[in-house]
Amino acid sequence: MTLSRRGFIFLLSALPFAPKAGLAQSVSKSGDQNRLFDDTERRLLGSLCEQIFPKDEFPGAIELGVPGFIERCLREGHADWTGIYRAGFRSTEASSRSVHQKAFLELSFDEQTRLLERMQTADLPKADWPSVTAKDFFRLIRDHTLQGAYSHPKYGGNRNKAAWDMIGYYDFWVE
Amino acid sequence: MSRDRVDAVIVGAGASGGVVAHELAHAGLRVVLLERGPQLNVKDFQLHDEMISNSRGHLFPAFNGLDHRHPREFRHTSADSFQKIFPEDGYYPLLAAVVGGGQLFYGALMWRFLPIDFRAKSTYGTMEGSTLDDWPLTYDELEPFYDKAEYTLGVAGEDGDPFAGKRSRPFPLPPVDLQPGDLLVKKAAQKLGYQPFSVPLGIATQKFKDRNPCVRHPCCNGFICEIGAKSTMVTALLPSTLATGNCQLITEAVVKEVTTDRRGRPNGVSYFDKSGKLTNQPARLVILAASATETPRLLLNSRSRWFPKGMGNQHDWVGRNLMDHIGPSVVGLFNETTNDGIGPGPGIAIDDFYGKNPGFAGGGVIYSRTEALPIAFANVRPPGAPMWGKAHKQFQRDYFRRQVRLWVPGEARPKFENRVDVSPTVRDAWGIPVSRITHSLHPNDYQLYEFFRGKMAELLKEAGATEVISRPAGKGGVDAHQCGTCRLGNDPKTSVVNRYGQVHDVDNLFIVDGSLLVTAGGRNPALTIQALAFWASDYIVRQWKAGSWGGRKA
Repeated sequence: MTLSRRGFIFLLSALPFAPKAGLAQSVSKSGDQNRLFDDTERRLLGSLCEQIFPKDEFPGAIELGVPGFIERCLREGHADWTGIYRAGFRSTEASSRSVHQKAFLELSFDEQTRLLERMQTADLPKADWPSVTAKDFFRLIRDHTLQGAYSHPKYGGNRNKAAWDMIGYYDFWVE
Repeated sequence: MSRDRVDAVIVGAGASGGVVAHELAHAGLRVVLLERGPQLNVKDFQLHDEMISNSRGHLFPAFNGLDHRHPREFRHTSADSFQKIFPEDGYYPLLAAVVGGGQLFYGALMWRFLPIDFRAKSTYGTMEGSTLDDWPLTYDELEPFYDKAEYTLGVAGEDGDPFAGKRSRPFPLPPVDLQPGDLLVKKAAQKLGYQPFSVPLGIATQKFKDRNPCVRHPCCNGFICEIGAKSTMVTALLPSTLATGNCQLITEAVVKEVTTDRRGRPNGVSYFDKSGKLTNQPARLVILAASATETPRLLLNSRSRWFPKGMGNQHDWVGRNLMDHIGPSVVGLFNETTNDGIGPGPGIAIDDFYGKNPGFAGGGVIYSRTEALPIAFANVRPPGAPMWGKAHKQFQRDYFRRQVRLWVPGEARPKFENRVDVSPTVRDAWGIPVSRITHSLHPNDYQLYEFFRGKMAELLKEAGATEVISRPAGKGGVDAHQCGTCRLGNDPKTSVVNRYGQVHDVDNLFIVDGSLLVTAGGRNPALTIQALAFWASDYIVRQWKAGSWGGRKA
């Protein structure tokens, strides 16, 4: 699992020029063409994204569609990161059990926040993170969540351009 | 396979190659223009879309991060070992392998260098560890070609810089309107006794020839302009060049080497065509415009018994003095709106710290930008500030439209050790040895960086910033402003080309790109590179018409 030094950037620009053959076939044949993750993984991804971009007086990551954005990007051009996500989910779960003796999804919002703070600073048992470091996985989730929330609504992570409206970014060709 | 001989073959259809093709084709020379990338239409790009922007640190769409056909190597100094790098990696200099080159995506800063830039050694004196030198031409000699470049390409600006050289004509286009944040900086600069002026931009601020005026979209720097308001070789030069019928553009042509005849004289280039077939393009004149990191590679890969160390490299200067700019970026946070939500971004500039500064050599122009993009701005935070969660959202709401960024393209010292050479082990997808880059900063560069960091913070605070954000200097490496690797000079022992870009002792081989720059200056290099390309073209056409290289006498 090599990670680019330029950061965890979804290279959407690459897609039109990248070989696309085979990508569609690699998707699970469950009938949901967008599906990479099972229901538990999806709920976990949703909670992680919501921690990064929580609902306040403006929509949070789940309401914006960020988890679906991430799944779509992984499916359409960054399959190489799917394994990192899966490993990160397992490690998040392991650390939640080490620290709280509970599944991550059973933690309160604030307990989840504190666990992510410890993930960010790698202050979690190393044994829980055998294939991706806590810091790297945190950065991946953080960067991809914000890319989803603040990117063009056509990618699906900024529903109704609500994140743009929140900050006063105005793209007059989208209006 | 060999093609018919032409008068001139130009390698690289970017900012400078586009100028030379334009000038030679209009003068009646038969030209082939080779480009290793494709020719893209505007519709091939995903437009005004931050997900594809270089503002997030990745390469331009035409040379994207998944293209692993072009590896390189990088190290800081000879004490380090080379690391293999790909386009998505840090230290891989920004390049756009596409017709139009990086200028398609540039921030459109189109400054003239100042007269003192051409007398760098005379101004600053010699310095240990630096190959600082005077240019073999003066500002006054280049002025007519700056003028020609501005009027051919379209540059918007105002004649308000007291440190600028004499202009023969005013700017062809009026400057872009200032944003509220620019006006705050302007007022503060005046209060501090500086002399602010509007930045010159390669943007059609009004209808210019057949080009549409700028619509002020905030996605500008790092984006192709979908309406063609940006001044590039594609919008301003290529249509009329091709219309002469004298220029053939060949894309996806990866040049391997400059070929020679039996007496060692360059007689064309060989390249891999779109299908991967090695092809010869014979030409009376060979003109290299492949960028400061690719032109030296091409010369060093053109070895023969006449050029055992590579073409033009008799004295080991090819690839030396690799430069970019070194300067901090300082963001000020304000309590009032600084940007109306529009582009292009650059606004007000000062040259008051361009020349002699206390304790170090060199300087640069300070200029403001007020535009912001949502994803990039998510990483603009004071040290220790939360990067996620509710606090992140609050900061993003508070400051997205209330910030001004100042930047200085500070003049880095040229160093002999900073260089491009070719790798003995790593080859590209066509089997050609790749560029490897050695680059670190000079101690003077760090002094310059810290000086400007302080000055810019002071200026922003005077303008009303409640807080300023900046980072310490990195360790070097070059990016979009790569330059200096085949420097101009009168002495063949300390330069690669003469004052017209003609390789010393090889009279039919020219270099016309950013490699020529003797010093990097303290401003973005695009206009100077293009003015030099007009200057070299003028020399070539005059010599051609006088009968050189089998040319037709006028």
